[in-house]
Amino acid sequence: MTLKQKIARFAMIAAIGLTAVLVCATLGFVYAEGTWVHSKSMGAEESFRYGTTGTEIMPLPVFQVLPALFPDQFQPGGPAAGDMIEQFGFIRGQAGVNEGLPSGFFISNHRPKSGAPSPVPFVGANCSLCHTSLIKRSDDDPGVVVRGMGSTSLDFIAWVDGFKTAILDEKRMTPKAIFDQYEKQTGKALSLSDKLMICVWLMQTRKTVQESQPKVDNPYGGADLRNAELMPNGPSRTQPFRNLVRNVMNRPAMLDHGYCKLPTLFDQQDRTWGQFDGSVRDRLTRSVLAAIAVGATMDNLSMPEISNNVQQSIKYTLDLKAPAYTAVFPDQKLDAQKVERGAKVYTAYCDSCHGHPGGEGKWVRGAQQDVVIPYQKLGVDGERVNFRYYDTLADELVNSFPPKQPLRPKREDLRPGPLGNTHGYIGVPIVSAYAHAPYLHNGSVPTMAELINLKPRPDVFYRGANNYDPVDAGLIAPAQPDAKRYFKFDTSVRGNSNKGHDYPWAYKGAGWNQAELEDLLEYLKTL
Amino acid sequence: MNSRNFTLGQVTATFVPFGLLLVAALMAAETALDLPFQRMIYSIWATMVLLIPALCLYILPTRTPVRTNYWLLFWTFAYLLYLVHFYYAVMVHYHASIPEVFREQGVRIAGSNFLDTLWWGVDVVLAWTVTRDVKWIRIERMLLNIYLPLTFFVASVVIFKGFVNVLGYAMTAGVVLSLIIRIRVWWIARHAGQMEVQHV
Repeated sequence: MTLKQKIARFAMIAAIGLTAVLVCATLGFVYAEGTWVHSKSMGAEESFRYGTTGTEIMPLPVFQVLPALFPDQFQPGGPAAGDMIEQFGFIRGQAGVNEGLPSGFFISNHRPKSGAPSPVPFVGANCSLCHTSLIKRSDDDPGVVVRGMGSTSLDFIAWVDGFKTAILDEKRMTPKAIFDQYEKQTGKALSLSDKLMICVWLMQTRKTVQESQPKVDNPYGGADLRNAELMPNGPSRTQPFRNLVRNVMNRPAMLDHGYCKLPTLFDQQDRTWGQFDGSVRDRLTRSVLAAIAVGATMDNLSMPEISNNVQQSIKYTLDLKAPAYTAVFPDQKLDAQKVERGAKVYTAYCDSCHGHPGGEGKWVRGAQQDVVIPYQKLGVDGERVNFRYYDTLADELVNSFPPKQPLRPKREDLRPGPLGNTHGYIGVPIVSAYAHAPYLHNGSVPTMAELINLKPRPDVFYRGANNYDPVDAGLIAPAQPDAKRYFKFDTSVRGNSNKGHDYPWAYKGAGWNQAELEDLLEYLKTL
Repeated sequence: MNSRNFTLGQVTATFVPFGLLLVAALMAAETALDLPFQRMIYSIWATMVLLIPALCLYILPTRTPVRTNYWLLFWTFAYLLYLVHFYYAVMVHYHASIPEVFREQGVRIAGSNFLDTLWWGVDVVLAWTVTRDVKWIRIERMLLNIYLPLTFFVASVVIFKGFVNVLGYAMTAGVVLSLIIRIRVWWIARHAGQMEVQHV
């Protein structure tokens, strides 16, 4: 064998050896990445608070630096109006718990949408983001956290627009800017895998947002995020069908005015039909559709960890109740005689649609409970039940799931469908009534005193981090804006009407009785 | 086509591309948020890269032991890459549910894919285990080498769009060119034979 042959032979053996080592290392890596996901078997409350629901948004390091990189997007009211948490109505987390993230944000090592393992932890939003609220009586009050209550301050749609605006800023939102800011904030450098994943995430998320622009237009940003004419949804509300129409039907849904408040999740065992109009029956379907609207996919929702979290979160809400009114407001003493008299008023005028509490914490159903009452009869805003695609969305939703897919909704669990239409609203149990504020499906009535027409309903008021008035059992809604109450809620705007539900009587209308309404209010505080 | 005694050069020329393609298919997907889906895509691209020489070597005329060895190695390594694709497709993307595969792909495409997997696998086993020249295996292999490129053509040229089209056209060109060469050689040989008979 010549020297040349020997060299060639050595080179070939080396090439085979190196390739074999590379293949083995890669297979080892593929095996090891399965360990990046730290699946935890969580209980019901833990799942509700900290579990992934397949709605991962961004890598944790990005979440941590975004407010500093984009104060214009995440402090749109200026520095004096507080930090991102205050300006978008999140509930501040505890240092050392869940990385100190605001309530409703979870951490997982799943990549968004696919649920594939990620070396970098991702942050996402779960059920408790929208369905946990902080009741404060003044700006200085640390407040009481009430799980299951629809957030009264969260302006999530505005936050998402601010986030998208930041993503689209190719000059300022760069990997280098993220890495540098992270190092500046924490004193630690990101690892190579962190950096790689952040680059991948940024590239693909930007591409996704850019691709959606022709369909849904540019996101708003900066001061526009607080402009009620541009961002008509506002704090504590959602547009439940906007994202579903966009994600499932690939339509812009730009003319959607079906605003509704973030609902309470108390005592779900007594809710046969979900949604304000009773359009979804099965509890799992309700949660799956909500998660899909926020970005989950059939793939990641089918993963055992995520599926378990969704199931556990549902379980958590089955008999969930808010703390008693007197526990949250210990200085408010209820007048027993007024309560007794108020119960009679309630029985006469409210019980039929809402039922009443029975013994052992059970709810006694009203005769009309779960019946869809036409919105014209109630006199309330009808945008929520008359949105475009109202007639076709349910079919499209069901058909978007493959046949026999375990999460595919049953057609009869959605309305309109075989079980009728829902051009109206259903009467539901009013467990923890004081924690349903603001009232009516669109949050257009700040207090319970106004809901029962003891007091006149305001036509224009400002929303944001509104404090709670235990006397009127609702939100203190000022007529003028300030740094914390910035969103102009104009009830003359389409979808915002505060008219209707004039029970027991219209304000100072026929039969109106102030004393009986005061009694009723006192009783409602006991529910 | 049942030669053995692989040389170091033959193994190097086939194993190294196989290994590098496998590594690339698995690791390139790390740059995607939808990791399993991209692995499914990249692994079928890698399969096609090795399948092209395997098909050409099978079709080209004048089989020598050297060419037979190269064919067997490319054929086998391409199949191993295909199994990686199959794993990510069936076990991950379709959640290990054969009914879901049929539901999502339709009976025709899913059935064809499963037939590809099974038939190709059986042929690889036969190629390694049967060294004799057996007529039914020759026929089986010939049929497979007609069926397999056809299914890949439909998938990579007709159904899907994107970079896979480049591989699809390359595979088609390779197969057609190899066929032309084979027919031409056969034609020349046949013609030469006739001339010889006339001369006699």
